[in-house]
Amino acid sequence: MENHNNKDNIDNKNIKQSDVKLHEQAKPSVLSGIKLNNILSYLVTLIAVAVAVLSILVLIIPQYGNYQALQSEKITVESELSTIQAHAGYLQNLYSLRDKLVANIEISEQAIPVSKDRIPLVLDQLLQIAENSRVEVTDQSLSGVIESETPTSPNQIKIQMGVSGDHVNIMNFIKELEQARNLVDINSFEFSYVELDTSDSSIDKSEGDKYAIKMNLTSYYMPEINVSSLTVDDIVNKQNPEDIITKLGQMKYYDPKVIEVEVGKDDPFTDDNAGIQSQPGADNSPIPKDADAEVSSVE
Amino acid sequence: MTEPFTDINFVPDDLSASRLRQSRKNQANKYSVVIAALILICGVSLFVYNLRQKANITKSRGKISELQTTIDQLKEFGESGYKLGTRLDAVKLILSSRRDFSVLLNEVNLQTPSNIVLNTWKVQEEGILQLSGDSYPSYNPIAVFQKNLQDSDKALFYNVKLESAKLNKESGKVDFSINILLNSPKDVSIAKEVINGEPQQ
Repeated sequence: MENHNNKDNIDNKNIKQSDVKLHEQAKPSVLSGIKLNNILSYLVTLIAVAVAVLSILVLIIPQYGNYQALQSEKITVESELSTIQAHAGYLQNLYSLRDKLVANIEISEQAIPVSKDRIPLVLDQLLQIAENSRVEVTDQSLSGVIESETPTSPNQIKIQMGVSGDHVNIMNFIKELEQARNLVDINSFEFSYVELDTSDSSIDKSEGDKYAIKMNLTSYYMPEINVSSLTVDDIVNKQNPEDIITKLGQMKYYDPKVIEVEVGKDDPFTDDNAGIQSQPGADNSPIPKDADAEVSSVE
Repeated sequence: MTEPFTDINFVPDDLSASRLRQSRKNQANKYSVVIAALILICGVSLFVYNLRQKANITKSRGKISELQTTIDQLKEFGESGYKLGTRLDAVKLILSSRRDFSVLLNEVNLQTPSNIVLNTWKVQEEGILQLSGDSYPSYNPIAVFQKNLQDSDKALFYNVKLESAKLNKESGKVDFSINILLNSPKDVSIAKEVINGEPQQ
């Protein structure tokens, strides 16, 4: 009986030990199965997270950087484009008005000539105005040229001129002078009544009162400015005062008298009138008979 | 009589916990897929947007270079326009600083009393008009003349000053000279604007 009990005890021990062994042998495989199942069950999540992380790292972060760079580049390019469109629009508009532009340039150059070669024509214009106003030119001389220090200011041509005539004609002369497109300013003048010499029988007393006016005048010329260093911005921002063009357009321009001049003379110290041939219809005597015209040298 | 075992849960605790876990896993999967998809969509959208922006910028640059060519071709006209503008500015300056002597002389004519005869008018560059003449039979017309000039609404005369007056016993006339300080052309044009701008009564 006692042996039997001992045997049972030994068997129980053996069973428990084998169970434990079995249990111990089975444990790792079960655990690994559970872990694998867990991992597999989270695989979708893991892949999704991996995709999300990769998307952020590979796509979103670099593309966001690109986006910011492109945004600032876009703003710059758009502003550049709008500026250049405005410039091109201005120039295209100017091109479409090229005939008007050319006409306006001509008018402006008639007002202030480009070259000092036009000085004789200014003097000629004064004689034409005197002729139109029926006043006698008593003297006319070029007293000098004052050159401007800045290229955008005109150079001044100083002229002295005297005319005589009746009051109305002298007033007309001044009015016409002010309305001449080739700009001539009156700087100072002396307007006086001329006492007729009653002892001189050659003077026609029926002519009425006679007045004389002596004037200091200024006309202008301005050489073309150098535009090589100008930017398109400078060009576009330059405003052309339309009112001035309109005003100049309303002023009277005296065309220079056309005289055909034969160049070349055997003896420049002789007066050879045959060398000058007038064109048909052209006036050959720009200076009135009484005028004492004198042109001094221009520095 | 109550049904037996109605209040007994035969489902093992492990199973319900496992079902709960499974449901959470499914939810997690679902959300993670949705989030990943959203992130991917955002990334791809940003990429496509950037590509379009790049294309737009390239297009704009092309347009700029095209317009630049146009500008280069038309710059000559622009330069002519600039020269014209410079010349017109000079004209404007000259015209604005110019004194209208025809208006001035006409105004003096209008304001001269019949008893006064002017002999000389002298205008100096500084804007001083000197008038000299005779007044008959007394000094009175000179005062009228002076007042007329000073009150002229043309705003041409700034200060009218009698410089000299002398009775000539032989002729019975008064020889006089008046100095008038003229308003600058700018002042005259401002005065004209003020006069024209005033409401008419």
